[in-house]
Amino acid sequence: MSDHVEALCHRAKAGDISAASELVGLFYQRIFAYFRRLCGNDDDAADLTQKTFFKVWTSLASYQRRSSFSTWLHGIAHHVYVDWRRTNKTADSESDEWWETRAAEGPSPFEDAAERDAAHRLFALVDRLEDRAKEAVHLHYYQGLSLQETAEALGVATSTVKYRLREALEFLRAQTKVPTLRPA
Amino acid sequence: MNDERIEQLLRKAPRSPAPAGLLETLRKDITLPRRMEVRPMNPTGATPFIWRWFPTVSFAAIFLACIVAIAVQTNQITGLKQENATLQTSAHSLEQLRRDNTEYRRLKAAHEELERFRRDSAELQQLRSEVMQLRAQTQEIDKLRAENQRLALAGQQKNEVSANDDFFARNDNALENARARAESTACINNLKQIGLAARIWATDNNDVYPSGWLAMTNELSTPKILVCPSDKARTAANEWRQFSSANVSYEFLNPNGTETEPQVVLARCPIHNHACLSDGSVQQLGKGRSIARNANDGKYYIVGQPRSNPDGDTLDQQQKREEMENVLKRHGPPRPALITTNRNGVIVIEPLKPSYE
Repeated sequence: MSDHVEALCHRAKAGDISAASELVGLFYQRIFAYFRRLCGNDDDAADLTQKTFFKVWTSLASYQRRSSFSTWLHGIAHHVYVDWRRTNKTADSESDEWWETRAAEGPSPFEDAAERDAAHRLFALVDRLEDRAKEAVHLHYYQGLSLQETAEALGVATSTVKYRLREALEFLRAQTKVPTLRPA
Repeated sequence: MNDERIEQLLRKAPRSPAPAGLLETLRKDITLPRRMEVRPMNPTGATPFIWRWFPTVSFAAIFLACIVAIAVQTNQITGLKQENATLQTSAHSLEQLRRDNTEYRRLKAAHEELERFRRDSAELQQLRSEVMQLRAQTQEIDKLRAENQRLALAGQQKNEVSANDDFFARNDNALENARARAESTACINNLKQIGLAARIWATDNNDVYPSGWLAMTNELSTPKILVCPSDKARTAANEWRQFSSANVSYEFLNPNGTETEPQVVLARCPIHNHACLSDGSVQQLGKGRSIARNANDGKYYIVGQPRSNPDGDTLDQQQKREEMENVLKRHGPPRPALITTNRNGVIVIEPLKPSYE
């Protein structure tokens, strides 16, 4: 997979449109999902996805293969999101209905209703995290990047990513211990 | 809920599908450069040589640069130290030169002062010898006068030399004039010694003259020089213990003065009107000049100009001329006489009668 992506990237740098099109097909859903969870709506997520790939094509000549293409792409997406946050309002938080809708569309990843409820509560708590910890959780857990890839995408040290994730987990653990009152 | 459970649930987060049409839009937006210069891929995946050795090479370059910088700075510090040592040596020699220069100036000033004293001393010796010579002449004149008186007495007794009065009177006047000149010269000598003593005193007392006669008893050889030879009303004291205002003829006019005013009169003789200036010189004022007090500083200066003589005579010649005029006024013009010796060996002067008588 990695070699195939690198070959496509090399061809795209040489001006091969088909290779670039194939790269878009491989990564656009992950990038859209990343923005969708952060922004909270489809329109902003689609705009940011377009901006991200536009920057990818204009910056492709500077890609030196020091990290994987996926990591480099997520780094660009992270900066696009930071710019968007700087100039726009805060992101909408996801509603429980949205999470249930997403879960209901495909085969449910959760084993039972209790696990699904716990997951929904957890996702809602993630939205309440501090920005830097939330970004680390999104990239590492939601997007499936390794610790090193997450650090490279965020432009920080691996130890910093570990620290932010530990803080996030402590917060989530503390919050999940307290039983929440749900409306009848 | 423990951490593993939380991580497990987070990894199961659902992924929302992209809206329809986004993929086509993204593919339309692909704008690749037409000709991109692409380096050939390294098929082996090995890192290039320059990247592998970059840390070592950069460290070595920085290390060498530091060594070069340290060497250059050490060289500069060594140069500065040498320059500093040179400057310190120069400063030491300069200080020595300054001291030598100061010592040279002091010795030069002392030498000049000594030369001045030598000149004054030589002048004093000359005046002394002149005084001795005049004294000898005076003694000889006294002898001649005594002999003259004896001869005159003998002539009166014999009534043979009655006509010789004018001759002896003229002779007496000449002797008186010679005596007066000798006394004047001795007075100048006294004033010269007083001026020299005052300058010696000032040299030892920050160039300030003494306040009076008693202050410079060490510099004056004897109190006898404080009496003018022509001052018959005063007698000289033999010792300083006996000295009083009755034993001095001269007036001390510049007490506590300084050597920086050489024209101020230091002392003067009221009889001869001689003035000793603060530079040690003695002036015979004569006619036309006098000593006057300046109202501004209260000091005494010589004022007036010496009277010019139509014949261009010197003061000495003018004095002789005046003496001669006085003799002519008193005794008339000289008359011819015949000088012979009588039988007793006495000189006989017989005035010759004019032929028209």
